[in-house]
Amino acid sequence: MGGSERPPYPPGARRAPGDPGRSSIDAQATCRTNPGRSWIDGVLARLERERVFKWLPFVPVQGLFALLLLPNALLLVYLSFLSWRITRGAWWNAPFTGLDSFLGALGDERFLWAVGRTFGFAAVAVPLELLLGFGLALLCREPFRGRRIYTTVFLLPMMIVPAVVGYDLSMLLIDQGPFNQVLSVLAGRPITVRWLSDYTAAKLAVIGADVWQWTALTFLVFVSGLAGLPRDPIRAARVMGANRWQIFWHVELPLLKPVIAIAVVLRSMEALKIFDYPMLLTQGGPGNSTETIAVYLWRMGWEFARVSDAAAMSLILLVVVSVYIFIAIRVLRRERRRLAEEAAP
Amino acid sequence: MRSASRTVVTVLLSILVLGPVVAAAQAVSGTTADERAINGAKAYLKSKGLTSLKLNMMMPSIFTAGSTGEMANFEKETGIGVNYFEVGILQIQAKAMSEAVAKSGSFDFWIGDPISLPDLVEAGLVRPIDDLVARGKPDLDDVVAGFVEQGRYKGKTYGMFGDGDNWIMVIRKDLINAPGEKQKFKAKYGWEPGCPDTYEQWYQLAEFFTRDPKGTGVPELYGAMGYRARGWGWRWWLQQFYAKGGMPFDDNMKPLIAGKEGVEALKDYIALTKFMPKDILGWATPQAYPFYAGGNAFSIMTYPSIAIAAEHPEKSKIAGKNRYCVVPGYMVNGKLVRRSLQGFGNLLYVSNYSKHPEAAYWLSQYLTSKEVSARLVSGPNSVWDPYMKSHLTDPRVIKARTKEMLEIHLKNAQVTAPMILIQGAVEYNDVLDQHVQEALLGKLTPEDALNRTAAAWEKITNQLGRKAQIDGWKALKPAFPTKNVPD
Repeated sequence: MGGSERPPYPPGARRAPGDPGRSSIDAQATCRTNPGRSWIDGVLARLERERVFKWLPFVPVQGLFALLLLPNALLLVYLSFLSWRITRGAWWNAPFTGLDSFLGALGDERFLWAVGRTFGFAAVAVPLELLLGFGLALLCREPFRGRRIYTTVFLLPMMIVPAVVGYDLSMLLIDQGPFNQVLSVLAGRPITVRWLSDYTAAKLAVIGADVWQWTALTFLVFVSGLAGLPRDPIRAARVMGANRWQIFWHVELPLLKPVIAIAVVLRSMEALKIFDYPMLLTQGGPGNSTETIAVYLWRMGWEFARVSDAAAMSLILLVVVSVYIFIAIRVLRRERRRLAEEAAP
Repeated sequence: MRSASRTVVTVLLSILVLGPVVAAAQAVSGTTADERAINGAKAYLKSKGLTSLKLNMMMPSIFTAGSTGEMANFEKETGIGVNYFEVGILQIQAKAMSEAVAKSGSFDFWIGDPISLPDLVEAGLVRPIDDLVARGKPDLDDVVAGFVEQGRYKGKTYGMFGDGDNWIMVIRKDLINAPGEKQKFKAKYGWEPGCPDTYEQWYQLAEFFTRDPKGTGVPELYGAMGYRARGWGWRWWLQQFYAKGGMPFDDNMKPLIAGKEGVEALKDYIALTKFMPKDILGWATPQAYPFYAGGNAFSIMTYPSIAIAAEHPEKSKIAGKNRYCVVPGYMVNGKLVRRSLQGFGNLLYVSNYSKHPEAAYWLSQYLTSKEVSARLVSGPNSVWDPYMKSHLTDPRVIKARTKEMLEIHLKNAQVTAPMILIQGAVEYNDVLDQHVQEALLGKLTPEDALNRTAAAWEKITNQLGRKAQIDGWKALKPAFPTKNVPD
């Protein structure tokens, strides 16, 4: 193929790897016919070739994001190498102590317990939210009378400010409060679970609050996922005699795996930051039984004024959560690739 | 040489003569502290060329209902109003600390406890107000002894004291006087039931009056109430520890809490809890007051504003049925030692980053003047507690609180000890709180809980610098009461 010839594929078709592409060739042709525009077209062609236009729309948002977050993030890293308390003058005068804050954090039993506890909460709450959200989405999948109302009701908890949820639950969950009264009626005997002051029940209360509020999000994700499932494989399975369960298990569920992975990533990230419920329901108590990482970091930074220690702890947490999210995204990509390969003729 | 001496003498004389003249010129006119506050505020507005001004205030949510009316009155008089935002009472310190970093001036003044004062002063947030106090002459002389010092740190005044939070004990006289009860009690315990002198007697009263006739485990009447929730419970242990004769640190800041006094006080604290509502570990004032006022408990040790709830003509089921008591104590070396605790004690602080610190001060002085404070502590939704000698005789306060309560409250003030008000106080107290609660839950033995607390306290002291902490502790020690029982 000569340099001046056009490649033999129709407009809009994907170019092969290494193919300079139509724009670049067009630009070269224009260059010969209109030398005045040569450098502009050259730059445009180069930009297109480098797929710059694909990213260009994101530049303002990402730029703003970087502008707002990057200085803070860098300051956080810097502070973690100092020994600064808010009560000890300006941070730029604080002594450099290297990795002391990190070593201190790793030796801080309370911090390690808070990390373990938070992951424990997430490990219980997120699967529950996924199961419930998925179940509700399946119920609302087929048209029925009042479906829109139910859908709205299921989404309502997500629209309430978490602090309000925490405050309301703190009133509902006292041992002689409405929640135990309802349980007592259902059980036919007095139920006096100390939701806010028993070591185990308080944990359940915090998890329950998270599940109540955020099942709505997984519901929304799954409703969208189910609505977007391709019809052809399902019809094909039906024609081949598969029953509803087989279609669900062997066709729909595998197709939903990327959606499930997205829901897991989204909810896990949020669940690991849980703050409002333990603060408002139990103040992290009884003892420290509901003290999550976010609560402990808040105390460390703003109550104890130990900013450098809090910075080191939050960086350790960032690494741990990043590893988790990285693994989850790899799983998500692998599933998408697998589905794409299976869908290919 | 002679001329130089003359110059020095002239300058000194000028200072001596002109100093008071200048101060007098700056002093604000008015016969009462609230008048001076109003006049000072008006003069301030005039000096700034303003006709009105809105101050921003951070306020614990529990204080809004009882305070906003008086702030509106101040605005009517002066043109200086308040935009307030509410914060949970235990979150005030964190919000203030974030402002110490941000230095945004997002609020001009706030209501906060004395625990956070040392840290917030060191963080540069709190403005000293001695200069304004000298000009405004607030009613500090009328404040009960020991309370003004709660707003002072390293020799300077930082906060206007406005809330006499030393605890009081309340018991139900109607239940004691019920037919046959006195006789049954005396037969069992050997003494006439009434206000307990010791914690052992309180335990006996609580045991006797806990009533669970159906044996459901949910008594119809609970024998005792105190606070045991996270963020609160440690204060009630500290009171008992003080009454045992304990002090948290020695002169070198070595913790003393894990000794005999601390362990015994913790055991008693845990023992008494079995006569309290099971959910008490999650309760603070919003739950405890209505529960007691609903007639569900025989006794309570709490903040004096319980009287507002307990004597409320419409909301309380037990109005007129309460007896107010001097706090119980322990026999130490054959002598009774009673200790109340200044268990919160709010102050009005002015921010160093306020654009109008003087205006914020004048409002603080207004709210803490004899006249206005009397209205505040007698308000129907108030949690401001009496703290001035004049409150004792003010008919409005007497009507809201009862004469008996006020007399007892001021007696308790004589044996009131401060909390641990040194730098790092919030962290010291948090560690104590955590371990006291774990002992209460049976996760740790009392000995383990206090030993762990002592070890953590040592670490905090070392981190903050032992010498600075020793100085802070020495400065606090004079605030402890010298009397073991009130006059």
